[in-house]
Amino acid sequence: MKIILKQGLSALALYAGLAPAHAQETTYTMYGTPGLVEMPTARSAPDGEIIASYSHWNLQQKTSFTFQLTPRLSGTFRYSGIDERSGPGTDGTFDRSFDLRYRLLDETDMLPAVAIGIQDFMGTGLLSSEYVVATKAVTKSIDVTAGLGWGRFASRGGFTNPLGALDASFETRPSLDFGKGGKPSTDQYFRGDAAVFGGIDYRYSEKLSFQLEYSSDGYERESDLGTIDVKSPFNVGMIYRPYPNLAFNLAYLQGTEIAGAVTVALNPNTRLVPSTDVRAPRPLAAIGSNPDAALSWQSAVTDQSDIAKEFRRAGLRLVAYDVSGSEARISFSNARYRSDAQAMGRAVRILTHYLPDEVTTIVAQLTRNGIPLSSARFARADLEAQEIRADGANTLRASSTISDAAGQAPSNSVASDDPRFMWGVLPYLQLLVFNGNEPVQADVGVSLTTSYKIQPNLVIDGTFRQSILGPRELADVRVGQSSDDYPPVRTSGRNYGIDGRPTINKLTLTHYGRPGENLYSRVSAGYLERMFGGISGEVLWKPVDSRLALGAELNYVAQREEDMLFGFQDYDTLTGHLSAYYDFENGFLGQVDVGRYLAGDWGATVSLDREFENGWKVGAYFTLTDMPFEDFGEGSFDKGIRLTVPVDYFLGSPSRREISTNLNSLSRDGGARLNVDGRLYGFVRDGHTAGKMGDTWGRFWQ
Amino acid sequence: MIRSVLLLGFLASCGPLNQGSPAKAIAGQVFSQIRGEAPAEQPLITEELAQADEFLFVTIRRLGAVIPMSPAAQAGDVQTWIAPTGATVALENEILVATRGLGFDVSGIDPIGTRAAIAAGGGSSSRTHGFLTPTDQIDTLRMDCTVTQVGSEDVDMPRGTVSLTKFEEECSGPRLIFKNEYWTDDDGDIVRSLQMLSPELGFLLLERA
Repeated sequence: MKIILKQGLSALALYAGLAPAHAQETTYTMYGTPGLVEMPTARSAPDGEIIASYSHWNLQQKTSFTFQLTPRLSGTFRYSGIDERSGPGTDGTFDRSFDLRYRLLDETDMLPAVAIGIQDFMGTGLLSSEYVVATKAVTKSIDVTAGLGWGRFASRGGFTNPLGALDASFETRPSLDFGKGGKPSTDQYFRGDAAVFGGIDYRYSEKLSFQLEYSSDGYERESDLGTIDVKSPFNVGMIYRPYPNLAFNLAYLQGTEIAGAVTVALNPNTRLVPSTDVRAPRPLAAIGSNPDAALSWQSAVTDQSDIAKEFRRAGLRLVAYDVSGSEARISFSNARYRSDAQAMGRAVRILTHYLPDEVTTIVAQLTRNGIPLSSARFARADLEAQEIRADGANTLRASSTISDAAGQAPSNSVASDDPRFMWGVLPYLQLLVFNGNEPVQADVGVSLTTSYKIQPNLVIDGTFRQSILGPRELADVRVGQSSDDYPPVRTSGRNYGIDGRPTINKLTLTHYGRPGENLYSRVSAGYLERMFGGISGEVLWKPVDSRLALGAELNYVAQREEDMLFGFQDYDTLTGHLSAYYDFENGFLGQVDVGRYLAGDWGATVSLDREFENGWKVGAYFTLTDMPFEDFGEGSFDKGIRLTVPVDYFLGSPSRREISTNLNSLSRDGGARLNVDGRLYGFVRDGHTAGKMGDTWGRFWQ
Repeated sequence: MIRSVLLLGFLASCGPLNQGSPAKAIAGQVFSQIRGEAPAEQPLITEELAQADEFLFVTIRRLGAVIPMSPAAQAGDVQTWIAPTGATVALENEILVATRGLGFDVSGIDPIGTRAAIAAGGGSSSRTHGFLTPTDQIDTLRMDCTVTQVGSEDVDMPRGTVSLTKFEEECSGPRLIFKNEYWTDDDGDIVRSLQMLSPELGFLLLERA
């Protein structure tokens, strides 16, 4: 695909992006997955895409998040409201479900794309189905899909499972014993009757398409109960897409029900807004361009010196310096740029304007929370040679050395004029989800954040809140909990601060340190989080260029009173973990934590995140401990999905802020970790070459 | 109650810790987009600009925006020009090699033989352009180019009409095809040019005055 643009007298051919392998944009079903109306197709979303969808009809409301984990593999998390669960007039239920799908074959001129999927593969199994599906574009505007379904997708026109030829056990789908839910129902997959489904997708224009499908989901159970009056096996749909990332679905299901959906897609691989707000960096100063430069260092540099002011205007702080002979050393901190490589590039460019000609080597140390993270050594001539070159950032990286910065701080510190005490007031909105029979409750109020810097690496942080609107009734914390063997370390969480009075959400003294080469430390004491207070210590081993990091954390904590003021309850415990972190080259981050959790249960948490170079992060985790599934309660064990979005993606202006969301559903007492702020790995890795600084090195000259 | 909560939202975002609060900034972005407002842009004539006896008028052709720039630095063959907003354009022997602060910039260009081909009245050259990708990597695109002399023509320049010699540089590579244009004066200096900036913003018109 090549786009030719006429511009004045010149023609410009845009370099072609990844041309879609098929004729049409991927459309999404009422389940929020690639497909027609309710039936899947073999299409995939573009790599990395996040699709949020809400669909609504008489019996079912589904909120789904689909993430294209790799070009072929995608996962979906869904929260469904299902009305009249046991027949007309009966109560509804809320249900969580997970899907996985994998595109086995790509479409070619002759052959269709083929995908395999399992839907609602763990949990109560209300929506459980499996399928193999093929899709082929027959013209530029028509896609044809045919597939074989199992489970729910074989509840119409089912026939004896062809997989029975392999093993007779495939022919029967055992009845599901889900216990407390939340466990993979492996004995169900691809079992029982199979059925054929299929359909076509017709694209009328870029914005409008129509779907017709023969559905193998006959709503058998619902029909038997009388909650739906099925009249036709055909579903018809229409999708209107006013913008590339926004679609509205309208459908007529089973010849009887009208359904609607809205789908929003976001792709971390594409930039939403141009980086227009970014103030351009001051260009490098060449050797010889400022004869007075040496004067800058004759008297002590303070916060009022020109160089310190220029650092501050650039969103950086000059922390310390040492300019003598042929070498200039500085340490600086970055409070503005998401990419520490960009911050480093700006710091050295500013520095060159103040350097005597005899300086030929620049050493720049990046610090955060008062401790150095890495030290980069550049030849001044290389900087001058690469600032404007096509591959300048990478060539410079190859000729410079970036190493550990422990114990090499420049000797002269720049006294800070910044006030030691900082504060801020913001409204907050906290959503309490999956709270028994209330799917979502909101707590709204005002939050006061304070910070007092005793030293750059010794800080008192506080967060205080006053709720204005929110649930005020004490809840029975033992709902869904079948055992009293474990203390309510998280289940009582919803009662914290429920009296509507001011609360101390956090009040801690934190010290960061560098006990040795490649070693980082943190000690925090005080009211560490909403529910626990005490002391927390952590050590991390992370060489600058190592993709592996190892950590150890030990906490002694006591459970706080529910009024979230100064008091503690009787329960105290020792909790802690040994952690291994691995940064896979392809953007995947793995983490394993083994240890003792808050309720005294022993176990491990495994998590995997996909991190995009521009800061987006999507991940999933699960925790298995020696707490029996029956004691854990609904869900059997702790698991969830998390999403981190960098704010500069939406703004175009540099920012180190991130918005993180956990979809970890139910807070239970098993596998619960202390939520202490300032854990080391997150910010230490940011400043390393085997980490975010290396991953965003392309921003060095930006 | 609802009203007090809304009021709270507007009043409560304060204090030094909340400067650059993402909620505020995103809200601002959204509001101005809904209202169809362009970001406030004031014509800034800085002292440097007023006192400079040389100018480079930089026009982003696709946007029609004219940005006057004054000389910022000269290092060897590379001259950097700066706009009152801080945006910069770097030229190596008058060939565009880098921009910063224009939104979709070119991070660097290696032109090989372009200036020599113009001086010789035509010839071949090659170029590599580097762009920052949305995932913060540098994407380099290499092209082979042919420079030809088109002839002389009268051109409207900021200080009046002058007779200039026009050159075209046609470049093509696997992913990028474009044509730059240059006009030289009697001394052989490039005083006007139309050079490829980025796929998103198209071409820059550079005029010396």
